[in-house]
Amino acid sequence: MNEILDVRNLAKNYPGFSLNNISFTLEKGYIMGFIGPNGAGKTTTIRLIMNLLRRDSGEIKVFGLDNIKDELEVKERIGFVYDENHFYNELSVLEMKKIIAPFYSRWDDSVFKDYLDRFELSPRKKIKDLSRGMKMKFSLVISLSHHADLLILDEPTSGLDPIFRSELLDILAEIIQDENKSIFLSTHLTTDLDKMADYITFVNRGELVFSEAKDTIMERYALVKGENELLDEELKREFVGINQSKYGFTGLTRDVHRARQLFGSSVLIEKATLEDIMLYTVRGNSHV
Amino acid sequence: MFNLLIKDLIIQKKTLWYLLFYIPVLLLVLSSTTMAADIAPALYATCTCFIGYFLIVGACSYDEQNRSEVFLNSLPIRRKDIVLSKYLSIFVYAVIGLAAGIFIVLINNIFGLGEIVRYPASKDLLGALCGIVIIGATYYPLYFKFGGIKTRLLNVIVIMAIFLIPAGLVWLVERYSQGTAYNLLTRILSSPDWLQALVIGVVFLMIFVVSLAGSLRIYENKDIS
Repeated sequence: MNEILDVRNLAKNYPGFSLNNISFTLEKGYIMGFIGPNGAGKTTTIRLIMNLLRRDSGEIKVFGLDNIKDELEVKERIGFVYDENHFYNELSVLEMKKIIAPFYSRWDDSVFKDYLDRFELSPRKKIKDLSRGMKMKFSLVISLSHHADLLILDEPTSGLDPIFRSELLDILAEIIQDENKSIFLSTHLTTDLDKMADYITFVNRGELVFSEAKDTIMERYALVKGENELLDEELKREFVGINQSKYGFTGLTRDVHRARQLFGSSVLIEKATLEDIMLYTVRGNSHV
Repeated sequence: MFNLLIKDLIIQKKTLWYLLFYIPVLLLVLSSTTMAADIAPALYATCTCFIGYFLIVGACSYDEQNRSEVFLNSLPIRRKDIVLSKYLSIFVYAVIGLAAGIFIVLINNIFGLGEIVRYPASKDLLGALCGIVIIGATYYPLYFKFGGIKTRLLNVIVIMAIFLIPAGLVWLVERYSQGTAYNLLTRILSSPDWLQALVIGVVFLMIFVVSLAGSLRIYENKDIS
């Protein structure tokens, strides 16, 4: 069984927001980046996976088990890091550990201590006295100390300075060296994923845009730059999104081969980054 | 579940220290009153309910302030265990409150600060327990449904209603039953102590079970965000 996380037709309705028909699969040993703008439905999806929210329909399997029926077994093997601190601010790092550790049958104090040393986290320091970056590290220490097979991280790098971010991403890259571990990482900072992600799942306004191998996406999508005269209404529809100014246009295509056929050498075709893909998909057509 | 109970005590260690200040205040009351011997039942019930209420509300407040339900429900814990542990904590807090009451009386009696106060009898224990069960049984369903801030206000209204509605009903029934209700009440009050205790025990157990069932239902279906 190689599928660590299998989400099928997931839906959740709130007043003013709906998550519709979200499906994706993460295999053992890979990192999946879960991208989308703020309010796209990333946190909702993660909270549905963690059974914090009750789904309206669909199916979520983690390690081949149903995330509701086999909740305890599933959560034993998940390490989670959320975008905010939810631990008790008044407690020290050690006190918080003493509360959490008994809930995990595979809790490993030596791993916990090793990571505390590595991250220079004082066990006696109160959580409220930790900086945002240190709180995030503490959260990561907790998630790594019970030999979790799947790490679920919701916007772990938001609000962190570039050094902390880079350090965190290095740690994740190190964890994934163990082929039995998988990481599901949501972020709106797509540069975090450019180097490390194997798969990308993109949601926008509660809908799935795509869920594919990153290399495939990077091969298919491209930025096309040219003069405005080259475009007519029909050609504009070929693009996911276009940014036009009086100097010319830049458009995102999801089919680079077709763009080459259509425009030949009259345009400049460049590689798109994940940020470009997200930006153009969210904005659609705009004029500067 | 035991771990959740311990958790609620650990996060409230500061509150427990603050409650120690309550002891000298009550000692002062005891030593300055001339009716100390008569206030024993009220003292044990007050200590248990006061301390119990602080700890019940305190534990929930810490959870709410830190939005800790998110991390608690991400651990391998069943939702029903979170609810059950809160209801079990009522009895743990009752023991703490009662122990504080006994400690106050012990100090008062040993050092002769006021008139000698008797140690708790079984009816004092039952009274104290019923008091804290009512507080917990009204607080928790509201807390699980609406959260701590709204519940604090609602809880006052509900507790007042619990005390006022039966009194109002008795008044109404008495007015229109031409003495029947009064006779019935007199008969209940003149029944043996064990029967009164049994009836009271059954009534409060029912309140506890209904409240627990309600809380379980609310929390099992709750979206935690």
